[in-house]
This record gives sequence, C-alpha cells and structure tokens, in this order.
Amino acid sequence: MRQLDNEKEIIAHCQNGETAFFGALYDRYVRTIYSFIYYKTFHKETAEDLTSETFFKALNHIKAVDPNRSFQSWLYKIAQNCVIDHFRRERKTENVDDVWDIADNTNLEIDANVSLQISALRKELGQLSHLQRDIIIMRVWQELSYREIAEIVGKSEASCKMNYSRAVKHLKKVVPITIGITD
Amino acid sequence: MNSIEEILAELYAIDSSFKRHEVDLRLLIKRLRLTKPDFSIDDAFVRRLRSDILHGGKPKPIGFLVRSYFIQTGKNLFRSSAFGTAVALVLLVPLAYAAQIYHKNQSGSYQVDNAFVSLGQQQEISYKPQNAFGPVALTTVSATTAATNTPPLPSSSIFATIASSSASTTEMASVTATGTPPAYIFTGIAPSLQTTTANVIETDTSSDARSELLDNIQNLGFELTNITSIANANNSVGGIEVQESQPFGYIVSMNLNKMSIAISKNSAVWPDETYLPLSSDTSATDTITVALNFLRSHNIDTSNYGPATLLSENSASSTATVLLPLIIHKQNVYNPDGSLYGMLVSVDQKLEKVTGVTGISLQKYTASPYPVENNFTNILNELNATSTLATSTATDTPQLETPLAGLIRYTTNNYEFFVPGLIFPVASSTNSITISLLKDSAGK
Repeated sequence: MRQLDNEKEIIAHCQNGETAFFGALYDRYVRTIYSFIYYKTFHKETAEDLTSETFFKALNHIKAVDPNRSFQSWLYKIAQNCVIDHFRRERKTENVDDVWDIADNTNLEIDANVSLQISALRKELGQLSHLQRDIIIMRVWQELSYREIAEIVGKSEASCKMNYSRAVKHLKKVVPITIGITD
Repeated sequence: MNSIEEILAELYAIDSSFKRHEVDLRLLIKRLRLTKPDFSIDDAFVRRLRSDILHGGKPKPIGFLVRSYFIQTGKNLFRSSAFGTAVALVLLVPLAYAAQIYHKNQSGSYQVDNAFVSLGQQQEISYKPQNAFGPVALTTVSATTAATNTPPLPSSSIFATIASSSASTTEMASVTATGTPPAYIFTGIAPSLQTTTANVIETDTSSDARSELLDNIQNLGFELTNITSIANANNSVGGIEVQESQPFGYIVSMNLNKMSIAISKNSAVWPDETYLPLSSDTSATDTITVALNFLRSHNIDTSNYGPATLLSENSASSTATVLLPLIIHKQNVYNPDGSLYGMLVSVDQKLEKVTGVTGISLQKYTASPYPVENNFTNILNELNATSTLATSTATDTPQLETPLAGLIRYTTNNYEFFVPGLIFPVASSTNSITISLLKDSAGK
C-alpha cells in the first residue's frame, strides 16, 4: 500500500472502505490518545482498553468524519467520551468524569507508581473545572498547541487561554509551594 | 519540551499581571511538570491493537468486565419478546463459586457504591438493640434553631437537638479547638446536644429485603420477568446485570448482596453524540424535567427524596447531574465531604436523555443505638486533632460556621452506614467538614 501523508486523503480512502489506510491514522495518534487517556485514568490496563475502544469506534464511524474539520479533535472527543463512560460504569456513584474527580482517599484502581506521584496534586487539580483541567493537562503535560486544544475542546483559542490563565491563578492560590524547588 | 520560560512568556501574553508573581509561577509550573506521571506505552500492545483493528478484531468488552468478587458466568440468558426489546441478562455469582475470573483489580474490591435501588414506596426502619448498650427506645426530639443563616433542620431529629440562644451563642461562639496553632476557628453558633445515644442506620440486607428488592425490580419498566425465580433458583447469585440492546438502551446492574441497583446507558447501543445532530444545550429547568420524567416513566419512587436540584454541569461533555437528596427519618444524608447525598441522575443535555441513575434507595433500614458525644468542646477538639482540611487548603485558618445536623454516610466494600453527625460549613469556601457524633469514632 502506498504511503500517504495527507490526512484528508487518508480519511477519504478510509471512508471509501479502504480501511487498511486507517493504519496511518492509528500510527499518527495512538500514543497521543493513549497518554490523554492515561492522564485521566492512571491505570495501564484501563488506558489500553479505552485506547482500543477509541480506535475501534473511530474506525467504525469513520464515514461520519467531516474532512474539513480536525480528525485529531474528533478522536479526542471519542476518547473523552470513552473515559467518561468508563468511570460511570465503574464508579456508579458520582459525577465522575476522570480520575481527578475522585477523592484521594477513595479505593481507586490506579497504578501504584503513579499514586504517590500525583497524590499531592489530586486535590488541587480536582478543584478545577473539567475544562480547565483538560487544558492544563493538554498544554503542560501533552504540550499541545492552543490551536489543537481549542479544536479538541470546541472553544476558541482565546477562551482556552483565558481558562488556562484562570486555572493557573487558582492553582497558584491553592498549591503549596515547596521551598527548595529550583530550576 | 516547552521550557518554563516559554510557558511563562505565554502566560504573560495572556495576562501581564502574572509578571508580578514570577517566582510563585515558576515554582508552580516546575511542580506541575515534576508531577507529570511517568508511563511508557507497551509497544506490544500498540502492535497487537494495530493488527486487531486492521484485521477486523473486536475490542475487549469493557462494559462486561466484572471485577474482583464477581465473575461473569453467562449472558444472553434471557430475551424478552415484548415490544421487540432484546435484553441480555448476566448473572454474577460470588468468587467462591467461580469457574473463571474475568478480571480482578489491584485493590481486590468491587464497588457499586451508592446505587441503592429504590423501589420502596415507604421508608422503613426497624430497630434492633445494640448488645453492648442494651435496647434503647427511639427518641424523637423536635429540633429548634434560631440561628439566622442556618438552613432549617428536619422537623425531627433522632439524635440531637440543636438549640441556640443568645446566652449560648455568647458563651459558645468563642470556643475554639485546642492545640497550637488551632486547625480551625469556630465562629458559628454552638449547638446544644441533648442526647447520649443515637441510632446508626444500616441498609437492610435480610432475605426479606432481598425478596422485596427482587419483586420490585419488575416495576422498573425494562420488560423483565422471572428475575425473582432466576435469582432464587441459585442462592449464590450475587448480582444480575440486564442489558437492553435497542438504541438508547440501558444497563441495569443489581447487586443482591448490597441491595443496590445502578442504571447506566448501554454505550454499545448509544450513538456517540459526535455523530448526531444535536440540539442546543437545555436549560436547568429542562434538565431537571428530563430527569424527573425518566424516574417517573421507570416507576422509581422519589417520595423519600428532597426537591431535585441541578448539582453540576460539565460543558465539555454537555452533561449535567441532578440531585435528589435522600431523606432518612426526616434527616438529610451527607457524604463525608459534607456534600448532600442522594439520588444522582445524569442527563445528556444535548441529547436530552438520562445517561445514568445512582443512589436510589430501597428505603429499608435497620437501626441500632450507640452512645454519642454531646460535649461540643470535645467535638471541636476531636475535629482539631483528626481532620485534614486545615492542612490541605489555603494559608488562612479555616473558620467553621454553625453546624447542621444530619446523617453521614460511610461505606465499606460490603456495608453502608448512616451515622449521626455534624456538618460544619467553612467560611469563604464551598468545602464543609463533617464529624461523626459516635463516641470513640468521632472524626474517624
């Protein structure tokens, strides 16, 4: 199969039933989507399951993709919905959209090595709105551009920047700064 | 990787006032980056998934994963012909009877926490003596309160009367927790706790209650029959999961050990809204109406719940949660974090459909009396010694306002308790802190 770089062209092939071309889209996004899901679940097996679910859904609904809109943002939206559905299935208790919504004393299945790492941040990031939290994760941890973030969350770049700055202001108030951390 | 300088520069471009806090911001960003969780994606997984996708494999049935104490022993055991609705029924039996374990989680627990089904029309509390202290008759004491800004207490309270007067206010308002420095400053009106025992309430898990739960499940509107005979045919059945297979169908998960039910959308048969023409977001009133209509159409009784309110909205996912606060014996029920506990109805505002219901109570309880702490200073001291709020929030010492009385809901893997307690709002914060009034367990 010939290699294609143009995403629109790849999607067009997929939409015509040549699903072998989907491999190129998979290769391009699997790590980004996995990391996004991992930062919302902190559990390797769950992240793998939901990544799998995301790409199967994407392939099954590839004909619904608008070629004039970002494929990446569409994929993120599917991943986000998979995560939300996962927590609703698992917790069945609260309005839980990702791991940050869950109190750190809750019996939660997350990777042991990450548990200590994020325990200090759980409470603080948990106080942010879902949108602010996603923007912080995508900007600081995933290093996506504002343009990409805006497409994914369905807001303008200006709105994303505003939410980002509000989130930072809030975190500046509530995150205890440890003396001794230097550049 | 973006350098800290780059991140700072973009923050300054958004809001130049950030420049005045450069040192703090630098430390904050440093901390955020340091706590970025390390993970590595398994290359074997990436290759395997790629192969599965491109060669027509299927994803793992995540919705069927049953963790820990339960296993999946069969499915498609039941199909209803009514209205052409296909329903898959999954029986879950305890691990002891298991032949095959699908997935066991790290913590070894299976939680279907608050989904207490609900079908009871009347609230029932049966009282059983607590051996250590002997039988204590239920005492209902009218609550009176004169505190201005204090939400009204239930008309009766089984454990305490909160009374305030100018004298007690003057005397007690100056009470602060002991310790240096104090974890809290109490600025409210101190309650006068006039009882020495109170009832701890548990969900009734007796065989009678189980039978009643099974009988009532027929009323849920999911075209089910013979649930009772299926469950009774094998006493080891610990749970039943029903999956509707028509578009916009639901999964109903019944845990017969914990007397609980949860309803959630069956994602496998719900179109992803990404692919649907959507209406604009609905208003709060419309959202509540969608929730109440769903409960009504599924015969879920709401008579033992308070008025529905919109609890939260998530603009990113266009979902909202409607809360109907649970009322047990005329008392509100609170989570340990001080938020009201009750039935939660999740609504997709764009689809205008309910996506899940949890916290539905069967309303059958047992109650046992226990001694309670009625010295308010002791309660404050206990709070000061045990609660962690002060160390986890801002620099100012939290100010506790006049407490509310209520039941605090605690859960373990297998049990649910409603314990008499106090809920202290925290000034200038959405947080509250709670404390159990049980002696020897306050603050734990």
